[in-house]
Amino acid sequence: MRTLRAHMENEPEVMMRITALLKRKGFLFKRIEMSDDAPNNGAWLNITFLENGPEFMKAVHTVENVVHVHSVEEINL
Amino acid sequence: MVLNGAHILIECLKQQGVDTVFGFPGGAVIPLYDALYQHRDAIKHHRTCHEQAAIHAADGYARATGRVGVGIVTSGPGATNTITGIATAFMDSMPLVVICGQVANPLIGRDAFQEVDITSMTLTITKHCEMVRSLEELPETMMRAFEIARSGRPGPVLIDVPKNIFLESMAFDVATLQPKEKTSEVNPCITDHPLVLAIRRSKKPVIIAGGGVRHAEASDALFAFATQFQIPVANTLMGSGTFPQDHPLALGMIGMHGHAYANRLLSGADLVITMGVRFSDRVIGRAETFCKNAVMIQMDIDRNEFNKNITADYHLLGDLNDYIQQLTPLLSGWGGYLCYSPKEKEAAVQAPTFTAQHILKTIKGAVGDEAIVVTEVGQHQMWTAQHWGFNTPRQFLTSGGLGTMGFGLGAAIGAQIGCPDETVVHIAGDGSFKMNAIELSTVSKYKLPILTVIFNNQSLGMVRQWQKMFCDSRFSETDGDDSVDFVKLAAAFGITGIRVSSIEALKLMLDAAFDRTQPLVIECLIHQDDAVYPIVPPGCSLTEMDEGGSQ
Repeated sequence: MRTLRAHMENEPEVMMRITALLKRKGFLFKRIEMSDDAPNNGAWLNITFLENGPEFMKAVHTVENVVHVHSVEEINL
Repeated sequence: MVLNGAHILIECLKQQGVDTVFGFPGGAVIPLYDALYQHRDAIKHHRTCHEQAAIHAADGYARATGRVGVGIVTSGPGATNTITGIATAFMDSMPLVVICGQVANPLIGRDAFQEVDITSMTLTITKHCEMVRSLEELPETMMRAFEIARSGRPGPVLIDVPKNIFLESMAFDVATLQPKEKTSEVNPCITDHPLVLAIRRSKKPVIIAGGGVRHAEASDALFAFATQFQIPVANTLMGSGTFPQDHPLALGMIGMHGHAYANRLLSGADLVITMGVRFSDRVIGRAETFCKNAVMIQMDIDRNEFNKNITADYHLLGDLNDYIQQLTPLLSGWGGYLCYSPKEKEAAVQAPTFTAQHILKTIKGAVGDEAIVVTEVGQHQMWTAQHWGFNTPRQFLTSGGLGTMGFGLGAAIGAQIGCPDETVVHIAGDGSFKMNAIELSTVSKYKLPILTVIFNNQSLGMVRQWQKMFCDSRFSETDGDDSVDFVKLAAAFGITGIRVSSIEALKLMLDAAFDRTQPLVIECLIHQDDAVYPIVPPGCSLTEMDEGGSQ
């Protein structure tokens, strides 16, 4: 399983948009975590995907395009 | 200067160069409509009968002019009525800014009258959507909305504005709103890219031009590139007109209802260069067999299109114009397509019976080559794409991705308002036309000289065709609909309506009634069994076309 971490503005709409877009593109979620301890009053959003979904990098590129997302990376939990 | 939020929003629109908007007023946007009234000399508002048509009109305006289309609606049902229009624009990457009124902040979450969470509803059908939280945020939010809508791969943006924000006031100076300087990303250099050698080795290359060519305004570069190297050009539905169809290198449309010659030549290509193509299932047929013997080069501005439906051998991310310019000197001396014979694509000429092909030819003869053609969705749409022959990129406006029946009349209204000096032809089937026929009222109200041509086969023709071919002619809910007299319907809106059933009558009526100054509705009675050919049956490859009897 692979985990994506997005540094984003601390707004529920941003999290909703990310999860909705990923769901629409067929990704399956194992775990979603949001915390407000990111720099510049932002938030971290960690999403761990189930393995039988689309290619991981598609998720990264999708999230990178969302307004109010500052950066996206893969992390090891 | 101290202004309220409604006037600030108007100033933001003016600062973006907006002089035309489409919409429908309601409780949550009364302050905004009050400001619009006071600025009516600078911004012309056009009211449709239904919010869906307002968004289609803004979409048609954007498609025809290349500018951002703007829609304004109220909260609740006003907002939900926009959803089909927004999704239509999203699927075809059209730049819209939709401004929705919302109930006042203190009422949000209380199930107030006409309250819906429209940003949640439109999360996956907008390029971006957001609710304005405070008046101070409004100017920057509006500027960002336009920037997002038109930048990169365009798309619709929805801005939800609570009513209290329209009414609150603050000091505002429009001069403080400076658009950010464009920071267009530079494409990487491809001088040493292996795709150059792959192209040079090719003897049977084909270009596929998609809607992205239009968005990138790359038609001229495509034309120069294709003609210099003698590369045949096929197009998707959304790429219609990006390469002139009267040129010998134009193959026509590919896909489920593409031209047979285009599908065949593409399937035999040894190299395919795609430009702004998203490889819809309607374009590629069975994915595993699509151009299976060709080296595939995919150019797109949206990297999410790479490896989505087709796995290409090479990807070029970025601006099409720049890549074409880079490629041109690198291919110097290359011979392009060897032994290409445009004569082979000529279809057999049919006797001039009252079929779609001849109706369209007759209409085109009357309106001229430059007319903007807007369609609904169905058989008439495919016939138009096949037989009209578009030569310029903003000439054919159609709902390609979402396939929205009811799109056409609203979009034609927007196109005619955006291009008042052009002839706008709205081609519809009877089923699609009935979906938003009430917008004839808008056509009449604004005296828009739109020519509407209804292909009336008294059925839902495309579904009926599929039922005939794939359901043993069990015509479930598609047949026998003769309940509307379209001539009388047009007359009810003060529009001349004509019914014809022969090419001779159509010519006579066009000569007598079509004068480019008044709207006109022509109902063409066609046979229920007239079908769209070729058709690639679902799940089949492009080479498994059923060409019917018309090719």
